[in-house]
Amino acid sequence: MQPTSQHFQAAVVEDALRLLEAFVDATPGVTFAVLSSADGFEIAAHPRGVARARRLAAMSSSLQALSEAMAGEAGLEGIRNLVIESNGGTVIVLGVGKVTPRLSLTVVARGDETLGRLLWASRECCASLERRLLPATN
Amino acid sequence: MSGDREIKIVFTGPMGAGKTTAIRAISDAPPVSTEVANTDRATNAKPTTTVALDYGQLLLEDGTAVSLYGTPGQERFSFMWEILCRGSLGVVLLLDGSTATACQDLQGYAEAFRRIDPNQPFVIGVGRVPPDDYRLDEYARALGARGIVAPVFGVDVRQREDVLLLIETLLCVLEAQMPEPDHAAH
Amino acid sequence: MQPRPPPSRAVSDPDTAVRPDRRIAVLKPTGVVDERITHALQLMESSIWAFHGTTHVTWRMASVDSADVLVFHEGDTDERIAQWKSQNKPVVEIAVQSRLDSDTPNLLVYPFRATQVLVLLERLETQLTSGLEGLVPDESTLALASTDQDPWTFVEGLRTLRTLQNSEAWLVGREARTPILWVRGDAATYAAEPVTVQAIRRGALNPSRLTLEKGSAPIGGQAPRSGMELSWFTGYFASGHLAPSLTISTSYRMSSWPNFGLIRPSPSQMRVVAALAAAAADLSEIIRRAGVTADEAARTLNALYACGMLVRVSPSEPGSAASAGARRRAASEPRAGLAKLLANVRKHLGLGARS
Repeated sequence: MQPTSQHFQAAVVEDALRLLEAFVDATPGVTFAVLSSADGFEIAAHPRGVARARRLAAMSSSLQALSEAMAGEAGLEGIRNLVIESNGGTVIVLGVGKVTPRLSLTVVARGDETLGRLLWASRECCASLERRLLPATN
Repeated sequence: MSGDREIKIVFTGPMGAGKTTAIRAISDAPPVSTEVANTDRATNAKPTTTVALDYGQLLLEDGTAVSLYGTPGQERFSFMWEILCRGSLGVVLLLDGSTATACQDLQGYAEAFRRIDPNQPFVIGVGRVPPDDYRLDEYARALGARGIVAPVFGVDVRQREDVLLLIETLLCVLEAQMPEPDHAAH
Repeated sequence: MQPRPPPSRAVSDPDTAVRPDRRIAVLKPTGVVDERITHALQLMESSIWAFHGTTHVTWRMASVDSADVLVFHEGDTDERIAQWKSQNKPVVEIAVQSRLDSDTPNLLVYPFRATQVLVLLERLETQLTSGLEGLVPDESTLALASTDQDPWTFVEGLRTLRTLQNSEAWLVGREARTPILWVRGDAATYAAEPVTVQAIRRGALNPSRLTLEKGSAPIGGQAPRSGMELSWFTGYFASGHLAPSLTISTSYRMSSWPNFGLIRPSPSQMRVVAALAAAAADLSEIIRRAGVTADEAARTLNALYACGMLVRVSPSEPGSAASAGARRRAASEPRAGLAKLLANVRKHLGLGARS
């Protein structure tokens, strides 16, 4: 059984799950979303039972960390998101606001949805997550 | 040396075994790390953990750079192991000999890296092993039982000369594997 | 590459010179003797025969008049024994119980192991080629005769302990009467004063002067150490020639690497071990592939043998899996300039050139 982050109680995780569910169902093209810790643990994912969820969570944390290192190298600060565009779809990794410990939201979308719409919807989801999660970490 | 392939040495092993320390001991440039807060203190008490890689370099006199990569230790980051050690000169596995799982870890990592590349030179450094410790003989035998004959040394990676011992062993293994005419080249 | 011969030898490198046969005479009992004596003499003869091809020279049975070495049993009053001793010619006494007062330097106590005969034959060969026979006995010759026991007895003893795996027992190593080291029954660990450990690592301890007997565990300030350290260094410093149990023409491979974190090898030793790890080899192949002297190659092989890490490769084996892997690797990744790159890395890290 994979250990989950110790910072979040079950009730909070439940709420995060519901937010992810709403986001995935309401956003055209999105097939999967996972909330993960900076050190690569899966906290909540929708749909559940996706075989690759754990790996994606770990890869997101690697990418997030590398992106920050690279941005720093380029003299830039305040990473907002990482976008991987492929022929079949898009993967977006976003940092979830000012939450401590840092979290990432990873969104997988298939098809032709415009990037702008996906980004906007994903950021909205992040904002909802922040609002729900922030009180828990104070 | 043609510039079309990166020259690299990979350091791997579980959390807390000293990968970052080892790279820092020999890197010419201050190493880059991708450490974040460790949320799994139950498994390991370290406050931070590497999630992508550590990166250091040897800057040789002729301008060649040898990359030194440290992998994340946990199994969930095993995809990084393959990415990083693809085409590398060799792998240095570091272990903490004082942990209860050291021998298991050794076999697990050895098997994983052998699957990635069975012919890649593989050197193992075990830390926190006192001079009377004959467990290293058992570790070597455990590997031998799996058909793996690899160097297993007791080292302290906080000492630069111990890290150099591991690197030198890697170099000797590579040199010994070269077809003989190359030996005469220098 | 010729090894430097020790100062007392006037003979060329025994490994490359044509070896003469040596002749050995066994005095048979003339009257009724203890049955064990008969068995012991038979064991001696059959051991000599069994080691044909293994020893540096070929030992042949001969008459007393034409022999280089005389073997007799305890209690034999044949006057030729006294003659031989007075001429300082090599003799071997076969006894059925150990005697501390024996004045015979070469004493085999029945029952003895075949390897003891092997060790003895090699020692006799050393004595014969160094020209000790026929010398007027003086203090230095007598000293050599009485203390020149084979260091291999100790090294072989450790190997045997390792196979017995008795971790409950302890053996005490004494120099003269003084205990200086404690070896556990399975040879996995040993204990000694730091100054003794230093001597072992420098080759300043002479294992032929040690007696190893059952004793009790060490008490007091002796630091426990890995038994592999004891085996490695005593095996390494024992001789510049291959151990009696190893032969020049046999191919060997390694079953595991020694713990170089503890041993801290010289570059030559590292190269020998790396060469063996890459592919099975015999002594001359090691010398060539590792680029080391015959002395260094033999000593390192001996050390590996002492630690139980050397495995004989039978002629039918194509070689170790490691060598097959090395061939595959070399074939699939021809890397231009690899040798130069490795040399540059060495230089950069201050590791010293390869050879």
